[in-house]
Amino acid sequence: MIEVNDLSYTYPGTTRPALDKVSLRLGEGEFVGVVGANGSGKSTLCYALAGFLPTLYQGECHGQVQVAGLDPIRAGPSALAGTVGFVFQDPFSQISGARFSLEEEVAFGLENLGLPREQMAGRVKEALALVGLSDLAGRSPFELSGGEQQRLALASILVLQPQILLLDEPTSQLDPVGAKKVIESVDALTAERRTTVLLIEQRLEWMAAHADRAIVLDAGRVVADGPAREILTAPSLDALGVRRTRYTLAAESAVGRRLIPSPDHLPVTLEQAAVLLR
Amino acid sequence: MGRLQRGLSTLTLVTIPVAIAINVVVGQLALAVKVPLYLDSIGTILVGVLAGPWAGALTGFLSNVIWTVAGWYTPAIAFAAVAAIIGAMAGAFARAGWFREWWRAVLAGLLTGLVAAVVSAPIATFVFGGVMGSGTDAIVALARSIGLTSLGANMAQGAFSDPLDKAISCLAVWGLLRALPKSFMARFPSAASA
Amino acid sequence: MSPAPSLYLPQPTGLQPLHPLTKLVLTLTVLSGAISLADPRYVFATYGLILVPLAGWSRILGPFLRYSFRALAPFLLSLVIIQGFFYPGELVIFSLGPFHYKAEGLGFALLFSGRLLVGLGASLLLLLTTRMDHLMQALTQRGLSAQIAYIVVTTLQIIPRFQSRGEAIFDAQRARGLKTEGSLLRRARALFFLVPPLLFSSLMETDARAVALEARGFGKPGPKTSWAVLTDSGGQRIVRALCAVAALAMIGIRLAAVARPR
Repeated sequence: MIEVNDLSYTYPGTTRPALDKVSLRLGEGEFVGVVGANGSGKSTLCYALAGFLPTLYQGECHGQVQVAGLDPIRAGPSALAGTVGFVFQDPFSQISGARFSLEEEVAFGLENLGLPREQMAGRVKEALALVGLSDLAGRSPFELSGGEQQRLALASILVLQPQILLLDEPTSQLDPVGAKKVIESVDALTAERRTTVLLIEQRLEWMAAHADRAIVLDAGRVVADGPAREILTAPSLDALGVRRTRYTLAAESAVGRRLIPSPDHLPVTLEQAAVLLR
Repeated sequence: MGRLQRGLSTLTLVTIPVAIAINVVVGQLALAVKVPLYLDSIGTILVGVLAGPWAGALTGFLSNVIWTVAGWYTPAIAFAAVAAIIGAMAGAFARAGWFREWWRAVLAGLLTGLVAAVVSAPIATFVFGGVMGSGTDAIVALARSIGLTSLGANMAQGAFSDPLDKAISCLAVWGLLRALPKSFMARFPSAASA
Repeated sequence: MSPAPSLYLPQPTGLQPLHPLTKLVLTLTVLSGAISLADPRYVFATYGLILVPLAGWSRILGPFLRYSFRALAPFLLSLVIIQGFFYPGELVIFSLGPFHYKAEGLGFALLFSGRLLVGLGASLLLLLTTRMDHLMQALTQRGLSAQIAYIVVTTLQIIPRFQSRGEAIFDAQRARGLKTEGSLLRRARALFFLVPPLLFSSLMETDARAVALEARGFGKPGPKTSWAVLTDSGGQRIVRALCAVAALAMIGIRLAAVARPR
């Protein structure tokens, strides 16, 4: 579904590459987590996959990328819209502003893709229900709280039914319970549609609950890539500015003090920790 | 129109609403602290400088459309062409490199203000009967009491108020250009010459 | 968060349910009437006999009259004073020192006030009865660039957000001791501390807006569809055609009158 070979990219006006010879392969239906410190290239990788580099940002770009059979570097973002869905952190900038109500806002992307009107209503309704905003369908997007606006941003992309979903901290402003629910319903939906998901998330616990595989970026390079639980518990993360979960750290210290036998894998989530401690 | 059909870059497109909002909000701030300036075209000048005369003209034009449509000042739409000229002139001056030094930016503002005054006077005269419905009408009355014609009085009023306002606005944009990150500027088509 | 600044007042009857283009054409026709008519009586009749009944039919008479007069009042005042004294004429009504108030000037002021009243009124009628997004959609279907429609509607919606951001910066700087009153120099200095933070925060987010818009296919070439349905009718098409003919006729007659040698 996604194939990246030796991709390097430098933003205009900077000298250090934001992506440095990145190579990556993602299959259909895979759910992959991406971790790394601020400025390690996580968001830039999403930009590259969605076709924003170098079309929108100019800068130096080398290497090959293929996404769902398209070349984002040459084709640009509009060719990928609908195929690649991209949701990011700041909710206010993701509201188009061009529509007056939530349902119209969600339909905006479908209008741009030229979907016949008869097919819109069902898809808009489904997307709003998925993020828990059905009750507010007639409201103005600007009357929502930050968390609700994030849900709206997600619905506005999910409604396009993309084959690839890039999520760059999409629930940072939601309360923990709400965020967990939203991620769960996105996971269920994407599993059903065999959507390929790339999730950037600070809270490794959630990532581990959904991602099969994790990638670690450092200074624009892929420094680790493997099964999520293995990667997200690796002690080397500490030096890369990624905070492992308290369950990982607690279990690690318990193992160090020989309180529990050394397991195959340290836990990331509470559930995994519970299993370990029986 | 051909230029518009081909379209603005997406970045220019999303910057224009922000620029118009800047026009409105800075204009209101100027009112709130009661300085005798309009300061309602900083956004227009900025877009002209960053994205070229066409985008600047469009920003100015639509700014005045918005003033009308939002119900703040219904007559604004009649002066939309003047606002468009301000944006276009800022873009042209920037292309000629006039926004590189502060004093040339001030000069560009003075000239822009003079042109704005000359162009808006006939509109005030022939569309609004020679008044603007604001405090500046006192200047118009003064000018006419010393014998100027209606058109001349409106020009005198504009020549008094506009150049100073546009010079300060251009100076503000000059300062802003120095303060904005290079990486931000690099994404705009015309920014190189500014 | 206050909603987008808009004068639109929804009503189930009157002009509101009509196709936006019908209302736009009506407004433009009345505007051309305002420019073309040279007799103040006809001009005021246009307001009283066309615009006022339409506003009544649309159940917005109160707001319509209020907005009309609020928009006209400053012009009316300046016109009556300035033109009365300075318009060239012979018929002096009264004198104030060296200045003479003349009937010709008053007549001119009345004609222009009437024209402004009709022009402002026609515009207000459109704005009070039409959703701006629907008007833009209708114009886009007739060939207006989707980018321009986007700019107009988006600007209306983000301005309140920027206003509250501006107020927040104003309050924050005042809380930190910034003086926003006093001498002119001090107030100008205050602007220097208020404007840059506003400009920076708003310009830096344009990047993200561009990304979000592209991700939803706004730049995609090819036909777009629309969620909202604008209902039109044969009757409205006829009205629009008649209005267009009337507007052209009025402008034509006026031009002929002006061009004729006196």
